[in-house]
Amino acid sequence: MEHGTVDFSKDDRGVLFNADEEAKSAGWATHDPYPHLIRLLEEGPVHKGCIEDLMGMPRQFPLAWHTGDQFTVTSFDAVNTVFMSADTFNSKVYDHLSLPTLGDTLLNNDGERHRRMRNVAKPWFKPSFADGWWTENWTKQAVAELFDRITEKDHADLNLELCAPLPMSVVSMGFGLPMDQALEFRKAIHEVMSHKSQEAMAAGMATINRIFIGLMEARRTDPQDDLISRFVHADFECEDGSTRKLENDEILRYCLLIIHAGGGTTWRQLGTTIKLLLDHPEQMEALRADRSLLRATIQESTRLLPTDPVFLRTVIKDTEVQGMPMKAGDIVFVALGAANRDRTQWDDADSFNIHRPLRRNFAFGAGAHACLGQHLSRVEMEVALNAILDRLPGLRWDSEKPASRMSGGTLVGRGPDALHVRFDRA
Amino acid sequence: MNSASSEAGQWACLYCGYVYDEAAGDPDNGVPPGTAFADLPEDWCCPSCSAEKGDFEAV
Repeated sequence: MEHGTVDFSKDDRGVLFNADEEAKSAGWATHDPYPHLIRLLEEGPVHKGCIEDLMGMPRQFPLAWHTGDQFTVTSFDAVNTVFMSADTFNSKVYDHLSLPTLGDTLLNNDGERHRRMRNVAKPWFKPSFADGWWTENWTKQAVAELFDRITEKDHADLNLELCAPLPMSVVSMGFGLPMDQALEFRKAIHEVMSHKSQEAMAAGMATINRIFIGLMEARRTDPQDDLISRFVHADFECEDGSTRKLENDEILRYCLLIIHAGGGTTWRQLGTTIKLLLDHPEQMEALRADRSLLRATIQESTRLLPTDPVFLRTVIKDTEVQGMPMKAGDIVFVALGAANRDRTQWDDADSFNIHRPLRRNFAFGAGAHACLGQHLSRVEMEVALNAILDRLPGLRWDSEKPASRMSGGTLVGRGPDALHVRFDRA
Repeated sequence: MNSASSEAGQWACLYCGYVYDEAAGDPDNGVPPGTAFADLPEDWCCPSCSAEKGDFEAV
């Protein structure tokens, strides 16, 4: 089987890897959320009402079934309270948002079951594993291949030639998925996740099952150094403390979540980071001269323009947040995109500044459901950014191509539409 | 990354906000209550997101 990076000049990507096209195909609005998010933040830390009504836009999230009250939290302290208070807010709402498409995953589970599920994969996404196994086996190879293609010319669209194929390739290779099936698999996930017709979703699941079941069965008898093999042979802790192996459908749901989340977010956030650096060339030069600023650069990019500015939670017991009473069963829209601009936490909060002291923001969530893959995401972005700074001298916007703009779903899936650049050939 | 000490005996993860409380320890991972942050093994990591000990700061 052949491993390697996908080349979109040779493969049909469909709507994938254009943030607006992906959003529109899933029925999402695509305008810039920040004027509204900042207005809401400045009006107060907690608001009664769903975020769409507060922002004056059509409903985005499928919550027609819900009969309780809905609230939107915007301040750092209010968002922190919701994310960190696992005894008061949980992810039950994702039974309606992610369970119908991705199935039973970490997203919609809570408490002990969530902890036991998360423990299966946690070792493979910790920082040392991201720095070691992922980077040395897959990320460096993928970056090298992509840049070898990019540097055959003096211009590129880094969105399609670097940002999109990199995380998809790394996660697919790490799973042990042959590259000729990786793009087919990613498209099938998009079909399933886009809430399209039942026929499209069924066809997507059939593709996913066909590719993955064969891979899992092969790895049961002949384990390799990949994630499928690790999942197949991992021990899952049951409620009574005993352990068992995971069933095929459990492994598949895990894989869907990781490939969907890992492929969809790092692509966008890497693109956002590149755009911000190109829009602030003095900071890009500061980073070029001092690579110890890489972690702060990524932290600042995720703070200012996170890929997913809103998450949701369910209230599980009567409570009060910043003086606003909430009842069990109510839903909270966690506007982390607003909280990341909280003026009480960051000076000049709407500006990009890689020289800020490193501090926590909510781009990867917080608390028990903080993104499992965030360390891998950061390391992938660091490897890619180092390569950009080392292998694309004279990097600048391509003035002959349309300017890059932030795009994607208003409330989910944000990233640059394209990254047309020019550079000096070596 | 670590500050020298925490008067409150609490240290927060930079990446997920998990708070290590010295009074509570981390019993699920073999750390008894009362264990000072400085005495945690160097390979101890955040029980929530696996961030390293060096990614915690005093609250």
